Amino acid sequence: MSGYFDNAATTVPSQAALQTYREVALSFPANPSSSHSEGRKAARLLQDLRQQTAALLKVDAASITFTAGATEANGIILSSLLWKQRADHVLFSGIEHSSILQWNRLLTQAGWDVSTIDAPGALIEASGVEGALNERTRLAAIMLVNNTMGTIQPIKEIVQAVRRFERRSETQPIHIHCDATQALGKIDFDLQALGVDSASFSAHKFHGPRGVGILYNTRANIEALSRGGGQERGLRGGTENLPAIAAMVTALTEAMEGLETHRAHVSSLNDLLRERLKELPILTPREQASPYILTISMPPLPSQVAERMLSDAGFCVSSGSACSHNARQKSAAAHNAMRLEPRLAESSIRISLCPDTTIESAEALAEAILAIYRNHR
Amino acid sequence: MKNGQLYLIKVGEIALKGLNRDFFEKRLKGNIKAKLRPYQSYINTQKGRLFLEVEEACPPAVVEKALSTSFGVVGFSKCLKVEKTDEAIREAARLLMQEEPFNSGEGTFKADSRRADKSFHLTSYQLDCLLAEEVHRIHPALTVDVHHPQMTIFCEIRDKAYLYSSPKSGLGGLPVSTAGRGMLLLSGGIDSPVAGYQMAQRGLRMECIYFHAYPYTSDEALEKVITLASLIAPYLQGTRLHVVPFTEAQLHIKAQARPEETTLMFRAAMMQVSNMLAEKSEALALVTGEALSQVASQTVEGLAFSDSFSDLLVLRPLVGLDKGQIIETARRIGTYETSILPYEDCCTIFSPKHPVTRPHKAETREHYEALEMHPFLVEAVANTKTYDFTPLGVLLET
Repeated sequence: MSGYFDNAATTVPSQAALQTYREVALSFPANPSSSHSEGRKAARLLQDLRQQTAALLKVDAASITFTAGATEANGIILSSLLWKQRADHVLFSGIEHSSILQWNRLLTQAGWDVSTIDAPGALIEASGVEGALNERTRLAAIMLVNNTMGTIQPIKEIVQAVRRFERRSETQPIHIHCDATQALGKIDFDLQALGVDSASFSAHKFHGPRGVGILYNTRANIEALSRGGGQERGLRGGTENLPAIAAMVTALTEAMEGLETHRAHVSSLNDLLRERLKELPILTPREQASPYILTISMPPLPSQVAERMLSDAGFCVSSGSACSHNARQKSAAAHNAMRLEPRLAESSIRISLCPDTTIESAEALAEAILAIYRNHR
Repeated sequence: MKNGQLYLIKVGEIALKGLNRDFFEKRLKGNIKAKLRPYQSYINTQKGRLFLEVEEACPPAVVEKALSTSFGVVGFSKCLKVEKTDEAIREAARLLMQEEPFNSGEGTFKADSRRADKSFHLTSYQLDCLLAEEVHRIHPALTVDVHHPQMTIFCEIRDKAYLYSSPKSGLGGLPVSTAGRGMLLLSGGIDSPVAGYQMAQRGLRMECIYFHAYPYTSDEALEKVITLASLIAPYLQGTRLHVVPFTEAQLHIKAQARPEETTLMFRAAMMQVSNMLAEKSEALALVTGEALSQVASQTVEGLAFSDSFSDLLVLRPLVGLDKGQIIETARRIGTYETSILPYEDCCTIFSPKHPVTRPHKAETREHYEALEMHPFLVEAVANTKTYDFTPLGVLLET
């Protein structure tokens, strides 16, 4: 798949991850909740995997919940608000993934006050967050790496601003949730140093399998979204997806071990593309952005037309977020929050890289983009 | 036909036709039978009624779909045919009581008898009383209301006795293929499927034309038009969809035409292609979903300009309708939900920011002639792909 440049949507699973999946599926077939010897064996593996995950994230194992992915992890955190005795106020950045923003409707219906704040240039400002807080704010959801632009948000400053507000107004602690799906295994960060209360991750974004992810949470009073057998300390009912969790840990180990090497390679690809495509509007800023995502614009071609033309030329890129395909308004809302010029937003194309992307394929992609762009300018 | 299902069909406007009545009736029978194939059916005519017999194996839903989508049918009902004896009539009435709408056992009803055979020993009134007695025996809670009954049991005495209850409504209009042949310009929007429906209602047989500008318009947009064609096909008594590859023609126009005139140039080119396809299909009219002043190109001047490129009559059944009325019909015929799917049928790069709304016909025609479109259009027609839909709207494999 040399023409695949849609790694922010999903990555190809690594060989080692697939091998782990197969081995665990065959060698640990029992349900970790079963009391027989095979069940206990599976439960021990699950415990090991939780320890390993915690070690890789440099957090306490008790804060790790395995989920079906980041969407579910976000859902667990946000649905917990519905259990509160009083509907108060929550704050979302306007550039959050739809798995956060879509909760706006339900929360509003339940009487919550939901504010979304703009993020000019796809960067959330700490002062903007601070200004939007009030004494009733219970939660703020701020992503780490934006999925459409690749921008890295100043989480640490934002957390400091929120804590400052808490002290000043003597309110109860505000839960800070961070969707770090596009960050894990790609950029270096430390959850505890960032000071967020919870974070979400998906394995398939770092070459693990689909349908598995992680919720990091340090707060009490979080309620399960799916109920049942009390798995994951009651936070996520349903038989644990042991082979997928194991495969995820393998993929995460690979990603963390190779982080610097991969980043250097991907950064050089990013530089190459920026250089080759310099006659186009490049929307992702050079500073404060993940090298894995490069969003450009191909005016006057609508994103979807450019995507189709590139697809016919053998390249997979994304027009907006693949998660909100068929729902153009949603990506338009995120583009508005970024205060992007509509002409550029409507023609935006996201190129997302991975460690396996070769220089040759990046060069070929640049050629194809230039040919289409020049033909329509 | 042994053990067949029997339906009584009421025809409307056809019954008023004079010497041509046979022609209209024959066509309607043919249309219904075509929809029911491969199931065998037989239709006979009796004084303003058609009696349809279909083989038992045919699912009632298929018969209902066939009858409720065929223009010329005003109403229809499943019907029982029995000997002209009191006991047989009572027995049939009892059977009808087990089915909708009588099976609820509640509400008001009326008995409505009619004697084509005046030799029958009971008068219509006496027959009504007999039926009402039988209704009451089964459902004592039902009360008679002869003015505004919620349900009616009908009995017609002809060669046999025919009994049926509240008929379902049909579409009315005239059977498709009684008014010649036309080409419907189908865009993927809300209007053109409705335009096709309206003209089918007056008996026009139609094939559809769609202009596809891949990759500027998506394959999803084409899929959507294929779905729309299959949705209107039952009303059209089956149809063909001609998909014209239009990218090269559009690119040429975009490169050569005055930007503010591009839409008009597209229209002119589409008219010419449609005329070429119509000639192949021996069609005598084009049908479009245009409504006056709906968009920049649908002004009187704009329509007159595009008309001037058609040798054929251009029918615009929606020209004087309000959007709300069009949407209402689109919902009723089931095309609305598909029409509003968000796949653009024209890429924004081909849409001028400031289109000419009141073209000067002669002058704009000269501009079009200068584009020398002919070779592009011939090429487009040569590469047109055709999809066929059965009278019930099933897309045939090519």
